[in-house]
Amino acid sequence: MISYITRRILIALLMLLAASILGYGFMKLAPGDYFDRLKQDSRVSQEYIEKERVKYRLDSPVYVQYLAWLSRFVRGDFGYSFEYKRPVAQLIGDRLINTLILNIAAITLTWLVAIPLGIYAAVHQYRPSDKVLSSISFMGMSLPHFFLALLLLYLFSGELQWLPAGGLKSVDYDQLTVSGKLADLAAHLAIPVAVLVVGALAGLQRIMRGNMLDVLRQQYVTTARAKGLSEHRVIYKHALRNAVNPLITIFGYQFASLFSGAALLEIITSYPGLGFLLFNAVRSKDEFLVMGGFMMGALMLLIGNLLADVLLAVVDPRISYS
Amino acid sequence: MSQQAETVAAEPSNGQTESLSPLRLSLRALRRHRMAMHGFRILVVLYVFTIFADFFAPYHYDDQRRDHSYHPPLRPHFYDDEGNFSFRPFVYGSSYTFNEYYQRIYKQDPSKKYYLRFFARGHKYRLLGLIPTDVRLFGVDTPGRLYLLGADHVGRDVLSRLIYGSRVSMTVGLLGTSVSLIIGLLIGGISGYYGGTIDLLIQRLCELIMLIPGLYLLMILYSTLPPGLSSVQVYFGVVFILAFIGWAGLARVIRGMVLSIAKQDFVTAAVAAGLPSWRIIVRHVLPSTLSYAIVAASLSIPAYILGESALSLIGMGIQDPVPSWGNMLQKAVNISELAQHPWILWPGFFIFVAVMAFNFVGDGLRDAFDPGSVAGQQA
Amino acid sequence: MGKQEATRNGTLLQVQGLRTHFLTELGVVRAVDGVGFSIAAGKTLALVGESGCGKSVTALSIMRLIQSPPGQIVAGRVLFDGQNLVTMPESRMRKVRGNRIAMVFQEPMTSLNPVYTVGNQIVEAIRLHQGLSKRSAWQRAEELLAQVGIPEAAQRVRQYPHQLSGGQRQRVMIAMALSCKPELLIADEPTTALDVTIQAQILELLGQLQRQTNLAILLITHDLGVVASVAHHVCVMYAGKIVESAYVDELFANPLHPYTQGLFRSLPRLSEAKQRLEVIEGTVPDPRAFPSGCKFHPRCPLGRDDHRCQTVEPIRREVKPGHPVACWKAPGYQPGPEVDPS
Repeated sequence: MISYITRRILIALLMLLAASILGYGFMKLAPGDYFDRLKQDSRVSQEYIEKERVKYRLDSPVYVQYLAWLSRFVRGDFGYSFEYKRPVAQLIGDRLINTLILNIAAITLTWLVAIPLGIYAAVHQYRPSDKVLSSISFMGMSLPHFFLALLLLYLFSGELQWLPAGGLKSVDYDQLTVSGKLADLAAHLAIPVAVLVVGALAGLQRIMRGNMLDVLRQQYVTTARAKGLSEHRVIYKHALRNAVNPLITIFGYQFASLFSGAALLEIITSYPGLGFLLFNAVRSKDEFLVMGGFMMGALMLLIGNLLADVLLAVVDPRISYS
Repeated sequence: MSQQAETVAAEPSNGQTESLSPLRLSLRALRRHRMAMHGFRILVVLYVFTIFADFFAPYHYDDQRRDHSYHPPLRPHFYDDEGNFSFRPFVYGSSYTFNEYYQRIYKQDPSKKYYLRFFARGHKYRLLGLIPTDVRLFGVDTPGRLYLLGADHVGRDVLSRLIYGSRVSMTVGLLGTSVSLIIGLLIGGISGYYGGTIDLLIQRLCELIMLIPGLYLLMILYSTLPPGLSSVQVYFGVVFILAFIGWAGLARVIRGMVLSIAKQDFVTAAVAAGLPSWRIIVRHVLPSTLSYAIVAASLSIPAYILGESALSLIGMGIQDPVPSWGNMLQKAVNISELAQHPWILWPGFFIFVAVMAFNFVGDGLRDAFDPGSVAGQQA
Repeated sequence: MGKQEATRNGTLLQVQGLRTHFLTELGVVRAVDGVGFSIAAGKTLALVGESGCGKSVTALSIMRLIQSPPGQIVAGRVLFDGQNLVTMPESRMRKVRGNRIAMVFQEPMTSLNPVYTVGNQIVEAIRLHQGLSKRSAWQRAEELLAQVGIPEAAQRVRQYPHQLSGGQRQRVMIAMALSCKPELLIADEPTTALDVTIQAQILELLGQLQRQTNLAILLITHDLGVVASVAHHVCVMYAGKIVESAYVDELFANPLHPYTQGLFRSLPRLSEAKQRLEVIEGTVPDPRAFPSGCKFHPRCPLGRDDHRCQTVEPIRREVKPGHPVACWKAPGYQPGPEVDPS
C-alpha cells in the first residue's frame, strides 16, 4: 500500500509538471501581456513599461520564462501579482479560505441530505414520494447554476431584500458581535451555498438511489433476509455499505473541486474567493497569479483522485494494492 | 423470452411476437418513456425556432431603439379603454419620462394603437440562407414596437434575441458533442484496443486534460483566440475549445468499454481470420460501443450548452451583438439592474428548459439501451 | 412455538394450492399456479423442472421472501409445524427464517456480502436467533466451518468471501444456514454453479447432515442426476404447476407424464450409441401467455393434436397409489377431484 501511494505521488508530480507546461504554454499563446493595458494609460511612461517588462523577463523567449517561473515555483516562490502588487502566495492564501468555507459548507450539506434521501427513494421505489423526489432532483440537475443564482438573487436580494447581494462581509462587519458576525457570514453565504447544494444534491441523490436499487437486487441481500434479519438491518448494515462504495470516488472528486468548483458562482455573486480572483487574473493577464491558481487547482484534483483511490481501497476489502 | 414463430405452431392463444432487432427494440422502449418523449418534443420546437429564427422573430437581433432602453413587456390587448372589442390584438404606443434617478418610466399611450399583424413585413433576411424574403410570423406596424418579453438596455426586443440566440445555444451542443464524440471514439478505440504503451500514454494525456480545472482552461483558451475574429469564427472557436476538454472524458469511457469488448470471442475470431487491426476496430469493436457512446454523448450535450452559456456570460464566449442565451444574461449579473428589469432573466429559463429536455431524452436513451433495465427489455 | 425434537417423524411442511403471481406492466406473470406437496422430517423432496418453471419462486414463497410489489402470494397455504406461514405476521416470520427454516442459494459468488468477513455473517445469524455472546458465537462459527469440511477453519472464519473458492463459499452458506439448527433446509440449485467433483462433495455433505440432525430438505434442481443420488421423493414442475410426483424409485422406473419422460429421454447415456441428443421440442412458454388447456401440449408428442389436451387443463390424479400425475394421456387417468401428494 505504501509503495502504491509513493508511486502515485511520483506520477502525480510528473503530471503536475506536464500540466504546468500545458497551462503555461496556453497562457503565453495569448498575444500581449499585462502591461499592454497600461499603455493606454497616458500617465504611465513608456520607459516604465519597458523597465517592468525586462524586470519580469517578458521580453525573453517563452521557454526561458517558463524555466524561470518553474525554478522559483518549486522553491515556494509563486511570484508577484502585477495587478494587486502583492505576492501571489499571499493573495491566494487570503482568498483560499473563503473558497474553502463556501465549498466545505456546500459539500457537507449536500452529503448530509443526499444520502438519506437516496436511501429513502430506493426503499420507496415507484411510490409517489419516490416519483416526486425523482422529478425534483431531475429539475435540480438541469438547473443552470448561474440561472438559479440570478433567480435567487433577484428574489431574495432584489425583491425581498432579505439577503445581501454579494460579497462575503457587510460593510460594518467589524463592528458586529460574534453572533452578529456569524449571522452576517451566513446571510452572505446563503445564496452561493444554496446554488451549489441544489445542483450537487440532485445528482448525488440520484446516484445513491441507483446504487441502493442495484444493491438491493443483489443475491446477498436476499440471503440476509433469509437469515431472518429485520429490514432495517438489511438496509443499513448490508445494503448501505455496498451502495456507498462507488460514492467514495465521487467524494474524492468533490474534494478536488473544493478550490475550483465555484468559480462562476463567485463571479456572479462577487464572492471574494479564489475563482473570482483568478478570473480577473486571466482577464488582465496577471501571469504569476494565473499560474499560481492554475497549479493549485491541478494539485487539488490530483490529491482528490489519490484520496478517492486510497479511501476506496480502505473501504472495500476486495481491492488491494500490493 | 420471445418465441420464434415456428415453435408457436398452431397456438392462437399465444401472442405472436415478431422478432425485432435490438435497435428496433430500443427505439420502441424509448418511445414508451414518457418524459423522454416530452423532452424530444420540446427539442423539436426549439430546433424549429433555430432553423427558422428569422421567420419567428419579429425583429432582427440587433434592431436597437436607444430611447426604449429596458422597455417593460407589452401585453397585447383585445379590449381598448372604452371597452371596444377588436379581433385583432393590438398594443399601445408608449411614452416615457425620467424620474429623479434619470431612469425611464414608461407609460402606455392609449391614443396610439398598433395592430398586430401576422405574416408581417419586417427586416429582410434569407430563408434557410437561400430565399430572400422579409415576411415574419408576426409584427406591428412602425412606428409601434412589440416587446412581448420586454427590451434590453439598448432597446432590442428580448423575444427576438431569444429566438436568434437559440441558433447558438442549441447548435453548440450538437456540434461540440459530435466533434468530441468522433475524436473520443477514435482515440478511445485505439487506446483500448492496442493497450500497452500507446494506451498508457493516451491515458496520461486524457488525465492531464481532465486534470486542469475546467473553467480556467476555458478562460485561458479563450484568451488565446486572436482579437478581431468575426462572430462566426468566434463561434467555432468556442465550440472547439469546449470540445478540446470534452473528448478526454468520452475517450476514457470508450476505452473502458473497448477493453472489455476486445476480450470477447468475436474479436479473437476476427483477428484469427486475418483482418487488419483498423478494420477490426472500426467495423467490429466500435459499433458495440455505439449505444453507450450515444448515451454518453447525449448526456454531455447539456454540458456544452452550459459551458458556452457560462463563457458567454462572463464575456469570454460569443460577443455582442450576436445573441446567445448566455451573453444575454450579462447585464443580469448587476443586481440592481436585474431587480428593476427582471425580464432579462428569460434566457436563463430557456437554457434550463433546453438542458432539461436533453437530460430527459438522454435518460430515456440510457434506459432504452441499457440491457439491465426493464424498459430496455422486450418480452 | 418451540423447537421440535429431531426424532419427530410427522409431516413437517405441507404446501397446499400455492399461487404466486407477479404484476408487471407487461401483464400478470403466474409464476406459481397451484403447487402442493409435503415433506417429512429427515427426508429430501426434490423439485425438478427446467429454468423458468417456477421452482425458485416456490421456495421464496415458502420463506415469504417474495418482493411485493410486484409479486404476491395470491392463494394457498404453507403449513409448517401446523402454522400457516402465508398469513403469519412478518415479525413472527422473521423468527422462522434462518432459525427453523433456512435457505441456501445457487450462486455462491454473489450470495455472500463481499464487504463483511465470512465469520461475521455467520455470527450475525447465530446472535440473532440464539442470543449467544460474541465470543461463543464466533467459536460456534468456527466449529460450523470445520463441520462443513472447510480446512483451517480458524483462519477462514476471518476471511472475506472473495478469498474463498466457489465450493468453499457454498460450504459457508450451508454452515450459515445450519448455524441455528433449522428443521427444514431449502436448497435452491446448490450445486449448479459448481464443478462436478465439488458437487458430489456438497451433496455428500448435505446427506450427512441430514442423517445427523434429521433435517428435512427441499432440494430444487433441474439435474436428474442429483435427484437420483439424494432425493426420497420427487415433484416435477412445469409452467408453475406440479405435473407429476412420486417416490424417486417409482418415478425413475415409471415416469408417466410426457414431460417427465422427455426429461429422462434427454439425458445422454454413455452406454447407448446415439448420434444426436434428444431434446424436448419447443421452449418454456412465456409466463404471461400460457397455452390454453394443458400447458405442455404444444410440446407434447401425445397431446399436440388432441382436442382435449388443447382446451382443458388436466388436474393431478393418483394413477397409482402415491403417484399422482396431471395428464389426460397417462394410462389409467380418470377425471375427478384433484389429489395433493401425501
